[in-house]
Formats: sequence, C-alpha cells, structure tokens
Amino acid sequence: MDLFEGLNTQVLGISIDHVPCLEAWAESLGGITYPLISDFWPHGMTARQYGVLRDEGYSERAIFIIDREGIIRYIDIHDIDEQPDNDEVFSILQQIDPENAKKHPVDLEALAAQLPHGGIVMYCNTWCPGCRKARAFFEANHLDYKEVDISRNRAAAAQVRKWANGYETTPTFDIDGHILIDYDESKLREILGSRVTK
Amino acid sequence: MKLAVGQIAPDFTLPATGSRTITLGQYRGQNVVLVFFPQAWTPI
Repeated sequence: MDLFEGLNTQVLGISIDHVPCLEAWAESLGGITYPLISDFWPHGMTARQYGVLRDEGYSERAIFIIDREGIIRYIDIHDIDEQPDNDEVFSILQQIDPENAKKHPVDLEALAAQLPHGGIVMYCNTWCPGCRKARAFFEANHLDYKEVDISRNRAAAAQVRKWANGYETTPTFDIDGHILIDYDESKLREILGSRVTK
Repeated sequence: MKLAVGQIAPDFTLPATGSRTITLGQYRGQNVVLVFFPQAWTPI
C-alpha cells in the first residue's frame, strides 16, 4: 500500500478496532506509514454508512477510491480472505489522476516481484481463444494453474512484453521458469512431461 | 444502504493511530484509498 505514495494519494486504513489495538498492530508490522482509523465508537458507524458492515460486527474487506473532489470512483468489496489487487487500484488512480500519474511513473519492478512464480502460471486475458484452449487442456489433465489477467495487471503485461519481444502475446506460460509464448499443445506436453495424462 | 460509484463519499471524523483525528474532508484535493479491513491482526 505504500506504493501509492507520490500518486497524490492518501491511504487510510479503517477497522472497528479501538486505537490501542490498532497502535499495537501497526507496531507489530514494523510501523505502518498511513493512519489506521478506529471505527470503534459509535460501533462500525462508518462501515455501516459505506455499506460494508457485516452482521458479525466487523467490516468486509473493501477498498473505496475517493477522488480529489470527494466523489467515489471505485468500489471493491472482496472475499474476506483475499488480498486486494494493488495493481488494479493503481490503474484506477492513474485513470482518475492522469497528470499526476505522469509525474510519478509506477514502479513496475516492485509490482512484478508480486507476480506468482512456481507451478503453472498462465498470463492471459478474458477474450483470447488460446487461453480458453489452455484452460480446457489443464482441466482435462487435472492440472492446477494460476491465471494472471494482463489487461488488469500492468506489471504482468510488462513482464509478458519482456518475454515476447515487445508483444502482449496471450497466453504466455511460466511453468516453473520455462517460458512458453502462445498456446502450443505439443510444446506444453513437452514441458509438462509426465504431468500430462490425457 | 450500499454506496455506488459517482456518489459523494460519506464524511467521518474518527480517532486514528498516532494520536490523530482523521476527517475524510481534510484530504480534499488528494485522492484517498480507503481500505476497510475486518480486524487488526488480519492482513490489510
């Protein structure tokens, strides 16, 4: 979350915990640079106003991006166990504040470090036919794979361009470090070896 | 009530870490990423 500094952006964390609890937590994490706000009393009132208070008395995991005029520009309420997608938040910030984004280019290398490694990773997008074939192939063989949508993740798109001579070719696979550009079933079989059963 | 994109973000004034009091309105002129998380000691 510190990545957003420089985008004319203030990050604010908020939970229903009381301040001493938030202080202790921030300290245990080695100091969080942005404020953690206590929505403790009246209990969860702000979470309720934002429509994210759960019946259990605590909030959903949610991100609201509010522009410089105080208007909500993006809402993401995600699975309570899922981590927010930093890069997506980044893209939204750049859209709503393009001038400032130019002054502070995104540190793609820092974001690229967060891309998954190991096992089968497929860089894809929602429409590509090769990605659909690959999904069917993996599923038929009961192979686990991770997907990274390069239309939603610019660090991933940059990574694919680096591998594919400047093109955003999808699908591109990173299979335990073996890079395969585009869908090619015979090459996939070669890389996966005995893991392919069908 | 659920909020929608395009609406004005409800203002709040609440205590925060570092003995601060935070009012959303004080960040007018800046973008704000407001991250709700369920409880401390869970990943933010």
